[in-house]
Amino acid sequence: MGQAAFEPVLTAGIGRLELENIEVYESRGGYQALRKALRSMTPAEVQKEVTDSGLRGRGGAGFPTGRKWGFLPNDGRPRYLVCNADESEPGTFKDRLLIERNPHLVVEGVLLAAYAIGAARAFIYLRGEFRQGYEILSRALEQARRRGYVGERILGSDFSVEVVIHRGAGAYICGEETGLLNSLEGRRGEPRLKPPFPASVGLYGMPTVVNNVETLACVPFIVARGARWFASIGPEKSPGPKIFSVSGRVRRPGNYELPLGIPLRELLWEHAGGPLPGRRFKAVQPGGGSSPLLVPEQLDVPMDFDSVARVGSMLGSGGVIVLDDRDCVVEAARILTEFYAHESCGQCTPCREGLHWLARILARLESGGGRPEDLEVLRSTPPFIAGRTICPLADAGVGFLRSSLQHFPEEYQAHVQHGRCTREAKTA
Amino acid sequence: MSQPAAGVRVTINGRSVEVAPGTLVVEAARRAGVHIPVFCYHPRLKPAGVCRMCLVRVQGQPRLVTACTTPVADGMVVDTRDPEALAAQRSVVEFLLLNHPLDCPVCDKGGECDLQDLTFKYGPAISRLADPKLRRPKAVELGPFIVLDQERCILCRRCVRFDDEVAQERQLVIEERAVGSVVTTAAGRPYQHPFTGNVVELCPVGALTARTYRFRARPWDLSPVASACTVCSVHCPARFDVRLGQLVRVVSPGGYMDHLFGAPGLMSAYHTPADDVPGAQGMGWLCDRGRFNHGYLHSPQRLAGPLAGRGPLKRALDWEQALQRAEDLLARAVEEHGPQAVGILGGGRLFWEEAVALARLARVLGTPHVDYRTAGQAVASLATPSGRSGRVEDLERASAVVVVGSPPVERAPVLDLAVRAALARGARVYAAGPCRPPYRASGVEFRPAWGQELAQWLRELAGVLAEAPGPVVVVWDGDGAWDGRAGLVGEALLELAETVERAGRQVGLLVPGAHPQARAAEAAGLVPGEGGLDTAGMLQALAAGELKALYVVGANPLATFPDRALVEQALAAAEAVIVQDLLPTETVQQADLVLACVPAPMRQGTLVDLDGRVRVHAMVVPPDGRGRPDGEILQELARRLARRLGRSLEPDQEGGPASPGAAAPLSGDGVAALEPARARRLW
Amino acid sequence: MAAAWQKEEPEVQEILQRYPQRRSAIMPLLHLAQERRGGYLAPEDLEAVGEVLGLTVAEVESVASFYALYHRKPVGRYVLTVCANLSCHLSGARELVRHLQQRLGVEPGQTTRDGLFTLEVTPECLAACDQAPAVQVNGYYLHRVTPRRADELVEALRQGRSPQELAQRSQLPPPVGEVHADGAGGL
Ligand SMILES: Cc1cc2nc3c(=O)[nH]c(=O)nc-3n(C[C@H](O)[C@H](O)[C@H](O)COP(=O)(O)O)c2cc1C
Ligand code: SF4
Ligand code: FES
Repeated sequence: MGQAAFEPVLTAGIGRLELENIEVYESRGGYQALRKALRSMTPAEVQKEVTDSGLRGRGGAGFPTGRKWGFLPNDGRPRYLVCNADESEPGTFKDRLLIERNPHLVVEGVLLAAYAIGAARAFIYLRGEFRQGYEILSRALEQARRRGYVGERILGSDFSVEVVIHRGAGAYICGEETGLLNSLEGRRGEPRLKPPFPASVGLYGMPTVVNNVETLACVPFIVARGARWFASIGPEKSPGPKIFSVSGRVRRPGNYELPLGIPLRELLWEHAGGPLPGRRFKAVQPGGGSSPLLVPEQLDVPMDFDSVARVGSMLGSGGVIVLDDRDCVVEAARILTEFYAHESCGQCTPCREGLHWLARILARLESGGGRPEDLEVLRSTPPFIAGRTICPLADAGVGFLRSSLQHFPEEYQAHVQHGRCTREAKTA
Repeated sequence: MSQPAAGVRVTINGRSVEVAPGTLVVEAARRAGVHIPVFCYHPRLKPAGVCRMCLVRVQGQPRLVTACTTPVADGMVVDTRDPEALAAQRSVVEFLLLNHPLDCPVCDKGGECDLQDLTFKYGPAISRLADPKLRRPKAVELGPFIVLDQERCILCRRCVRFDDEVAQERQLVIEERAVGSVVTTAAGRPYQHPFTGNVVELCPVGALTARTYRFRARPWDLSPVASACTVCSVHCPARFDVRLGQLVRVVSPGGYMDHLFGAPGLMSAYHTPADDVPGAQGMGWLCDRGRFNHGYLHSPQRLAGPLAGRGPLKRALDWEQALQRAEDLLARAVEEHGPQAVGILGGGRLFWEEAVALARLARVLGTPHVDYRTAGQAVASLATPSGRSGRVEDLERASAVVVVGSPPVERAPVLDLAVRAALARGARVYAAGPCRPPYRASGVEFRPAWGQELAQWLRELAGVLAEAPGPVVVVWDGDGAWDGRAGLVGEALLELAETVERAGRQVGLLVPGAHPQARAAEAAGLVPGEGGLDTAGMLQALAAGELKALYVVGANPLATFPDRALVEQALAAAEAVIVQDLLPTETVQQADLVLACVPAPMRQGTLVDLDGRVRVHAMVVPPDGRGRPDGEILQELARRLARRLGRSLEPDQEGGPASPGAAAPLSGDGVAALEPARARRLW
Repeated sequence: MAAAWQKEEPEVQEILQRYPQRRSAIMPLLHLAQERRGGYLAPEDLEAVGEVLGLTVAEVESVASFYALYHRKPVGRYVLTVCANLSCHLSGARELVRHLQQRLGVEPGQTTRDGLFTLEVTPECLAACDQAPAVQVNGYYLHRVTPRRADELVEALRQGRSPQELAQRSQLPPPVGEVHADGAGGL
């Protein structure tokens, strides 16, 4: 899989160089891909390059990017590109890194994608909490505009695109693409019924592509180095570099740019430094707070979309959260379930009422008021929340709970029996 | 290729039906006789798909789908009894009940509540909730008529969607999110517009209640009567719920109907898909005026019986005395001063049969001075002889709507909903008059204009409308009162209609007017005859002493006629003033003799809608002994006067329907022909 | 009270120009008002937004109330937002909140009597999980906020240091062998 030869590209230079300065970025070949595309490639060729690269969306669903672009109907209506920079998945902090430390890469990716799909305008939907990111990205965009990379007749070509940064205001659900589009249209960020999909009826009812920051950040490299280069990294069906955000109980939490398909064990031990002294890994969420947990026996799973799905979880955003033997899964389940209940947009009954119910039960369990019947509710209810709603937030909201009940039933039982967590006693 | 698209065949629970392409599974199921439970779905609102109650199995689909948002596809096989679907439905009810209070015994909606019914039919047997329910405000006064119980709200959003899609007021919204979501208005602003009452009917639970009905009755104690609203000239079909002889609420047919009538569906939403809604406007909504202003009906204010004596101090008479007195006053005027000395004002609220009786009384007296237009309106018949009488449903297809005079919302509020719907469809509205119509949508052009200027504006507009992409509907308040020059406007309107028609566009005129039964009054001949005086003329003649006696029927010119001083003079000068009315109005005060009559809901008769349709008004509540029905009074007087004056009482040549329901022969005198099929489908 | 901005201002006009449809300007206009008013939205601000965009006040409220970052009540000069999501929780967010509660003498959601600090605890992950526990001051990041560091930060703010000055940016982990100055991941 060529891991030995792997060199980070998305994060290269971060921490050493002031990449947010356009001159520094350019000095390392920045905006050359844009130049190349505008000079020597048609939009269709850019799109083909991206399709051939095998790039899959880094926002969570892993949908092939070139294919997504290809869905846009050719009917003369204006098209929009939206860069999803709402990064709010628990345990995920890779887009923020790119925005704060390599903003021009994001801008260049947006411009290339806009060119490829013929977007009339591009929006970067930036998480409201990213105030610094907003300042940095705005400055970068301004620099790029002054250099003629953004706006009318870019670099003398007949391609024009305006890029607008739109700040969110604190709602996880706006990361879901149709919630995002509603929010961008000035409405509550409530996900829309699908179909129709954004490709045909998106922003302002027009054909729209929504792509994650990291997805778009890959595009300049694909254009510059070619689809074949990209496709040669990692597994055939899930190629390319990926930033894994590792947090929780590891020695060296942080963002690691590695080829997709790297074994989780290697990521955790060799890069993130392994467990804290004297501790043992207990459970790992491989793809953000939404992903079902994996147990130590599953750590050999290659970190790519298909492999992680095969072991019953998902690669999602690539946010890896690690729990160790001191941590209580009931407590973790309570925190995550409360989060999802809090972030439900409130449209769908199962999501709005169901997640809130589960969160209350978990809180009671944690604080000693658990009853045997609670376990039955915790076990039997999630299947009626997941897969029953307009958007997958509801599924995300029960992912950890379901898997933790499956792998650690005794811990839930112990809470009911003893009215408290007994894990200290166990590990002592 | 332009033939209507072929139907789509789907199988639902083994039953096969053919429906139009695009039909939602929930509707197709209804047609197949299969009930799919819903909360957020409502046939007259856009699908929202939020409650998730209608999940069903569609063969070949990996996940359950919402029947309320999924259009049928040819060959689709749907199973609503799939075990997974049933379990999903049960879970949704369980979720909804988690924080729903257990106050059904004191809830207005108890007995006609969708949540109650569906819990019974689809819900879990027991509650598994171990934590206390969330507490929220229970009696939030949203506006003058509407009260919200936040605990009972299940966030189906029907009310909010109505306010946005139909009323287009956008006053009622969801605030906050997740489990904290609430239905509310903006801080400190009341929920107030002419159509708020509809949200009470839309609410599938007892969260939204009407102040006029709160705690007044239990649904099972109500006797529903299907009839029509008589407040304006549209005559919306409505259901009147009566308890112990008292009208307690008015709802649109199909609102709560099937709960009580046990019709196919269980659900309020089911009752009336848009195409089945009876009634001229085909919308099935009611305005607040028609829905809530029935307090007068059982009010102690109402006149109990005949009264005599001018001024506030009056003496009660029995009916024999009163009728004798009326006979004397009228006969004496005729005998002493000739038939031309009597004038008759009013009748714009009478049922067709009663209007005919009033016209007959005029003939018995021999007077041509009859006019129902007591507010000084223009001739509403403008719309009829020209053959351009519009239909309310023309508004559904109009590409342009011309609003002349005061906005329709003032005369016939429900018409305004049709105009709003037209706007939402992209139609343009051109308005001119004393005030801007209350539309929030774009696409409205307004010119403050009246009189000459208004006529000029209409002439200019004709050119624009000749280019309109589709039919044009003109809604004219029919009111000349605000400038006294209705003739001018009327002529300009006719001219406009001709120009637009010459350009090959269809034009419909709708004149809601100030009198709910103007069309019946006109058809019956309650307008000045040969040499007869109109309202203003009669008042002047009275003031001048040329007219001696005035008979006023259900009108209050002191309050409604623009020149109040003239009315005062006229009444003071009159030798005899007889007023037939319900309530002690100002004009009643000035009467020598008052004949107490009976409110419309306590009578039956024939209504003629503003667009010429005829429908039967069924009695809603029996008369309560106060007053006598107008028709009876008029007939009795005609009989007495005929004898007294030696005139023969004509047979019933006018042919008012002997019994309601029989076709009224209204054609030939300007009223559009009856549509028996449609009218009969009503009731 | 007047609205925090006037329709005619260039900044407002620029925002209105950004979007093909006006309504999209609602969020930037609310952000601008909140910024100017010192952290919250007054009823006048919501009304002004409605007026400029042709929305009812109810619609504006409906949108504003959906988003956690719009405050509809006054807040302190510094809003301290502690991330309580899983990774920060594992690294001591709960202890940090407890500490700040004591130190500031307020409960989450409350403002100190001098009007300087509002303490907020958010269930949303602030995307600084490698720098847990994470706090934002008026949207600026503070990383690895131990109780001791929290005291220093509060003190610094009291002394008049600006959140910008104190802010930290995201970073890559140091090369193997090096350790974060203040101890990584609760070591
Ligand atoms: C509840 C929810 C939250 C999401 N949050 C994000 C997010 O923060 N950032 C993101 O890029 N995608 C997020 N997504 C995924 C987006 O819906 C969408 O799939 C993605 O932006 C597409 O971009 P990609 O194809 O480049 O991955 C979320 C999805 C769901 C259901
Ligand atoms: S699943 Fe939850 S978040 Fe998604 S649309 Fe439904 S209520 Fe909103
Ligand atoms: S989701 Fe179909 S009726 Fe509510």
